Amino acid sequence: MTKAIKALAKRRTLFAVVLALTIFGTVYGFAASLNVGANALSAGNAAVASCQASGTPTGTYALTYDSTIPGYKVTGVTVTGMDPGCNGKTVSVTLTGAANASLASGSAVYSSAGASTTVAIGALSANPNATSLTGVSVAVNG
Amino acid sequence: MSILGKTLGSGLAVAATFAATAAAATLAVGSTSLSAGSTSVPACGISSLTATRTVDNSGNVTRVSVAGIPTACSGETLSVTLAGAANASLGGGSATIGGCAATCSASLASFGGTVSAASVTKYSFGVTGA
Repeated sequence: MTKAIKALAKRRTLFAVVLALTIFGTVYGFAASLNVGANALSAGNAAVASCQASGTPTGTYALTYDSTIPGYKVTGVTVTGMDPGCNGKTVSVTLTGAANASLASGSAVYSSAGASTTVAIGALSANPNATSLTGVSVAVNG
Repeated sequence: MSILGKTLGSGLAVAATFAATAAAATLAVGSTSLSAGSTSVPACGISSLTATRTVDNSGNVTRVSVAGIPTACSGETLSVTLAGAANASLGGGSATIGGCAATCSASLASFGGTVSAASVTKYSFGVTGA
């Protein structure tokens, strides 16, 4: 009789443990699947390198007379002093005026072919009055 | 191994699997290069300029001379446009600023065509760095 009771108690304990693990696993499994499906997260870090190891990119400007001003407007920018290490990178230029407001912008891909250290940006988003130009921003990206 | 041991082992394995699945993945990240900067656009000190023109016997402009340019503009490029009625361009050209002493000068002898001196009502100037 005692043996039978012991065996029954053992089976009940075993059943309880299995049931608990099953429920835990099921719930935890659902939560994990939900996290991956709805809230996928991957993270990492990387340094942002600069290709402009030497030299100072400097903007020079193409001027065109405009009778509606009347006067000269900026129709292009040539950036000199490019580092050949930036070959193939995109050079973006923004011309700014009062309160650093953007007056025009444009971009071009720099090529170091022929030992060139310049890149010409002939198409600007606008052609501002040359007298309005107070600043220039240059970014090399790629 | 007892049934209880096997069951516990399996449960732990299942739990470990779910825990590993739930962990955030570490993403290998790269970056393209980026350089950026801003600066002011300096002027070389010109507040006003005065041009003198030379006219031939036909009444056409043969030369435009500009003097009194600040020495800070030495080596830069002076663009001049001869304008007429309604500020329309009659012709123009550019020259390198030089001949500096106390001040510098520049002169143009080509305007992209014949320009009648009588039609010129205004000069427009622009100076850009070399």
